[in-house]
Amino acid sequence: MRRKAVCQVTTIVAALGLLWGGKAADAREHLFEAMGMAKVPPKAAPNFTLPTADGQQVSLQQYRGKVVFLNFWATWCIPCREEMPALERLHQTYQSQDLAIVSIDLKESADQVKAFFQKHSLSFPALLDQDGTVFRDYLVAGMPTTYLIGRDGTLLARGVGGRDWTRAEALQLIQELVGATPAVGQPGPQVSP
Amino acid sequence: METLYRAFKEHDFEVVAVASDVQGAEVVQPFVTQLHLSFTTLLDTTGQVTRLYGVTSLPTTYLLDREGRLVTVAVGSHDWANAETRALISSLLDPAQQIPMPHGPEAMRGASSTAQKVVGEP
Repeated sequence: MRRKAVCQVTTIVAALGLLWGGKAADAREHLFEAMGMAKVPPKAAPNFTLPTADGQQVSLQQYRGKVVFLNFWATWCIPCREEMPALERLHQTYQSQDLAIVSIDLKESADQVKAFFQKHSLSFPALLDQDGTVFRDYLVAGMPTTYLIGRDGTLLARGVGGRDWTRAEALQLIQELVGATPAVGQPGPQVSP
Repeated sequence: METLYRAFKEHDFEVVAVASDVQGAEVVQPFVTQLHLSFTTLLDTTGQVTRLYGVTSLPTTYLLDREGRLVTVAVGSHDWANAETRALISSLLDPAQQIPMPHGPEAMRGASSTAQKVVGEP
């Protein structure tokens, strides 16, 4: 009798788990949609090793275990420039909760990118794709393009074009991906294009 | 774009490029020279036109008809020299031609609204 009761409790807990999992998946889908992010086939994000504007070598693999916000951009791209303050804000707010904002610049000099980052007080990694290989690997056809990558290195979604990453839905999406409790955003720097 | 321009420039077709680089002619002119681009290239160093058109991704291409009406918009890079694009331009220049367009305007509109599909998957 007692075993039967335990089984029933287990079944109910399992059912609630499935229900909860389903709702979480629905919430994620809804947030992807709200942010105009298209789901991509869940395969491993192409790995890369690139220099930063500071001369360090960084590979995608280093971020395994974190949610990666991979942003393809260039300093001459106005929609890209306009996104940067919000990216810094996400970086400041969520870096302690395993969100890694990683930017990859297309074919510009380290000095150029460094100057832009310093001028606008941006502190997340600035990688340089000097021959465009990583842009090609990720089939970037328009800038900015953002990929969201899960903690296990799997591609989750892609967004082509600039969007408002300070929106409530953006913060909810990041929270959903990092699995964290709601965090309070900090005001970030403003970039005038 | 240069190929497309050369193919149709004698038939009332213009290509107007808007470069939004803040460094302007200093960086744009060497590029134009290097690639032998003969269509008009404008400098939008303040981003005025980029904002006016609500451009959120570069490149973005607008196609306008003779009356200045917006025909389609394409987000992201595109093979402007392909047969579909040529057929679309032909039909705009001379609607009476009835050029078959198996992947004409609709395909282009698809490109604009579903840019995610156009760029493929990594």
